[in-house]
Amino acid sequence: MDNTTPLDANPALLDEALHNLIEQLTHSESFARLRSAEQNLMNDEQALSLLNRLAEVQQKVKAQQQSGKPSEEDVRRLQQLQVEVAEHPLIQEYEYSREAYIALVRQVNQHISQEIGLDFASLTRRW
Amino acid sequence: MEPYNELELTPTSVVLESARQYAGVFKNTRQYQNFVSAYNHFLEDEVAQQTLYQLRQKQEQIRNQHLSTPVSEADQAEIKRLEQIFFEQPAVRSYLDAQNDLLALAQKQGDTLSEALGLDFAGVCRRGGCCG
Repeated sequence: MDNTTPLDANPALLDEALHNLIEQLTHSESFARLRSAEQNLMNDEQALSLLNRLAEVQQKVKAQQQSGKPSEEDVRRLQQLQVEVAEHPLIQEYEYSREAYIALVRQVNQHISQEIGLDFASLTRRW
Repeated sequence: MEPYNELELTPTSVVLESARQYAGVFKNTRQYQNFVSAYNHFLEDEVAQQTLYQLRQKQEQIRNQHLSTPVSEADQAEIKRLEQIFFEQPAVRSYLDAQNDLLALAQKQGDTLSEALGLDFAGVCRRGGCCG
């Protein structure tokens, strides 16, 4: 085994390569679309209000489930809000762009993993 | 909507090329090289492999027996003895040390990646989702 490679003599190269990877990822179309969709969502009061109402009703129904039977009215309200959220164009765009961005991040992991012969993401996990 | 200039965006091919370059540098780190070397040494170490084989055989035997009877004290003692021999082997200790060093490096890199990308890198790439 050779422990004296030039790269080992300069561990900063690894950080440099990582920052280059981050730079390319954060300038990708997927990342830009996600940031744009996120911004659109944050600027839309109706969409934010819808998400807040959904979170409130979800919490209420969860608490009711833990203490007994949830009210039918609240369950109906929850289902209705879930449909409204799923159909909201800005929320849809956000979800879609987030999925696309995650798909790119997964591709990056696959490429690194193929090169090193180990699942890179698993190595990075803190247990 | 915050506008972005499509001409300034990085094509996916360039992103993936930077991933390959990163992997190339990662492979040349002391931690990765030590891990590969220690792993190969561990695979070639006859005592470590023989003890591991005996340990697995015993565990399998106990698992099968345990379906009908409780684990005997003698079996428990035998497992403990084999584990002790296994973990005392220099090749095993070197392999585990090298693995810990590699994990420490990768975890630090993963933390930086997660923070910069605004997501849990390991979490979104978990097995079953897509990767590896």
